[in-house]
Amino acid sequence: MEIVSIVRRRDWVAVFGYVLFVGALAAGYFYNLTFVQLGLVDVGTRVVGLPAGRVAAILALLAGVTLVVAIATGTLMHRRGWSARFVVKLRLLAAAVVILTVLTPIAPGLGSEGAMVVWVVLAAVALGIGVPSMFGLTCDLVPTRDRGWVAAVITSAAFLPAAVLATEWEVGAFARMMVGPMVLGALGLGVLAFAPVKVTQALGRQHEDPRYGVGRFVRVRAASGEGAGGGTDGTPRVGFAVALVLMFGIYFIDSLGFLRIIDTPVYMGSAWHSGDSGTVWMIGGAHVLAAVVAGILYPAFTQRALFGWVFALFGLVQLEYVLHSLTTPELPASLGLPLVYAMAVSIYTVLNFALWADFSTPATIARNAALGVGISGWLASFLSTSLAILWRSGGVTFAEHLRAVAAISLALLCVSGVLLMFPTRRDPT
Amino acid sequence: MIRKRTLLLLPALLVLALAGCSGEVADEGRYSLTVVTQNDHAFADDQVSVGPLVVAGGRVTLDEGSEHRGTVLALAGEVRIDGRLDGDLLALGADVTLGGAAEVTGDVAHAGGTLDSEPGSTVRGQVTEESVGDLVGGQAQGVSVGGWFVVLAVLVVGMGGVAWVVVRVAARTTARVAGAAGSHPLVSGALGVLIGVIAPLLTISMVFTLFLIPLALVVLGLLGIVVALGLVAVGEVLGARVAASQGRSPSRPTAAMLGTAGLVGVLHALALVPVLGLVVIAAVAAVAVGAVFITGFGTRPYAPPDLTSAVGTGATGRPSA
Repeated sequence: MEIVSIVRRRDWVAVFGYVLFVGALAAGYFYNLTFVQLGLVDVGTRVVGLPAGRVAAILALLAGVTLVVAIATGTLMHRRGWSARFVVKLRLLAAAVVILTVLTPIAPGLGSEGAMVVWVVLAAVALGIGVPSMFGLTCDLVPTRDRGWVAAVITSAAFLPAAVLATEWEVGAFARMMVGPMVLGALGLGVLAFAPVKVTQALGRQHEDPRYGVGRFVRVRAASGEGAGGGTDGTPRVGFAVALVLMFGIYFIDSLGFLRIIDTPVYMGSAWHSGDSGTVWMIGGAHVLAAVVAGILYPAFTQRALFGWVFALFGLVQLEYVLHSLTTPELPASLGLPLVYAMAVSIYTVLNFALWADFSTPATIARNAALGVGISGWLASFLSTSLAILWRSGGVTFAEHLRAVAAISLALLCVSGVLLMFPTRRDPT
Repeated sequence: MIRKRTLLLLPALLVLALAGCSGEVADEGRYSLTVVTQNDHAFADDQVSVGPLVVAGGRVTLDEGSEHRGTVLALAGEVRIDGRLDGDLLALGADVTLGGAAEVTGDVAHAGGTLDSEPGSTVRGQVTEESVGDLVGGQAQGVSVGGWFVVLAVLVVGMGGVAWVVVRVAARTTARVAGAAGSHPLVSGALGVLIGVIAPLLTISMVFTLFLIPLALVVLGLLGIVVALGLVAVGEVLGARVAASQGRSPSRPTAAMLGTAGLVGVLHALALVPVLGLVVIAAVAAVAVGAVFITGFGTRPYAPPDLTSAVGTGATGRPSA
């Protein structure tokens, strides 16, 4: 691990870079997991009093706007050369955090559907700006070798408190919990981004260090300038496209399946929304364990092997839910099922945090991260939410819904299995 | 050569799988294994449930008018029966109450927790009272001194012998697995944990289909072989390292035999330590299983991807293109 030699050298600026990155991404993902995914549902259903279908439609709007803004911002950053400029990324991130900090305490007081839609669009703009700027910091702050374990720390730091602390699922509680740290975070980012701080300048030069800038899946031209074939500059190529499709598949399956599970009290009451502290701690622990496993395996495996294992896990978990819903739907599933589900989610989240930077150079990371996170995360959420609404309105039962999800996940397992068989001649790993 | 072996192995597995496909349906209706670990669960009036019911926590109530066909194994939590239990009741640690309208057609064995029978409850079979110590500890007591050492001796000698034979017969295979376990224990262990999660899911899914129960048994058997092979590899690594620290260099089969025997003995002793022992055993098993999988069952050596391939070749902050 590079961190060991960095600490031995007492390079505290670089250490601060790790802390800044982990803090920013963990906080951002925690906000997304709790306030965005759970808090907005509470705003729609309880505060505003909308039917579940309308709330889902507004969430689909959130995902759609975030996707468009993220890709637009990433493309703009790429074309203007901001992708490789640390300070610009930091300023954009600070702006996004400020917008969300202002919006967060307003959410519990939203009184109408129109107000909620306006809130959601503004939040989506901030989230969209935040995606390429935040993920774009990877090449500045985290050496290539350390991206696996750093992603594991971020995943653990986001999921454990989300499972353990966020048990009320009430937007007011979320807002009270988050506003303080968000104000501090916005102030800190503002100082770093806009004040002439030496630390910022030093961090802004780190991507020039060969250990930082270029991702493990990027094929770099030789010193002579001759290409080694394929993608030589972090431009999206086949490997990136395959990763994009598979990550999209994972997010789509997870979102589509979880949307129905979350609406089924027999599952939620005995797991994620359990009043039993032991249960939620077990789920948080499963997230951490899986993140550690994924953090170790990420640098040790090729991306194909990683995807194969993730799909195997997801396919089987979805299948288990289907079998349970077909056999004893009236009884809660054993705790093992949500625990394994939590593990699958953590593993692919670790992938998501590390993957896009590893397909990029500093010059391309904003665009690639926007495409990667936007399409795999937000487009998948948009489509799965829309499809879930469509199926629900079409009278698709819970068992049929999960059966379809299991079928898709097993089909993608087969696809990743086929991909695994292709030779890896063009893959540097 | 590997493909030939695989081709030979496949028909054998198929025969094994088909050999078990002769089961008959024992009863009409829905079949399931129900495991309750938490919360309240009530089987309402006129509800019929079928299959073994395991209560390991929470509270389960068979309301008056409900019927459960199958054995009830009450390990922990609370069980109240006011309906009809068409099967046996084995209470090992739960607090069980037979309500006034309860009817149990089978036997009731009580060996832990509490068993209250309210007036009016009916048990058609025998009611037996035994202490948990009689049921479980009886064997443990027998094992506690002499038996424990007999088991230890069998494990040490048996696994040591197996290790010697396996390393002699499949020298290259075990060398690759041992290489992975010795050089990359963290990666092997992480993969082992992942397999430890996936394998039970796979077998449970197969068992649910009923048709694939024989195949599930084959999978479990293969997993047992994988664990054994992995333990031999880990044992070889340990044996070689311990010998090297003593300034000796035994042959690979000898190192594997001694190392595996010692490893199995230590693990057997660690099983007596409540939590830490299990954690260590699980960690060793994870490394063993992961090392076998990471080398493709010993068919290729494991080499981690070279993360430096893109680094230091003109990556100067700008794309080289």
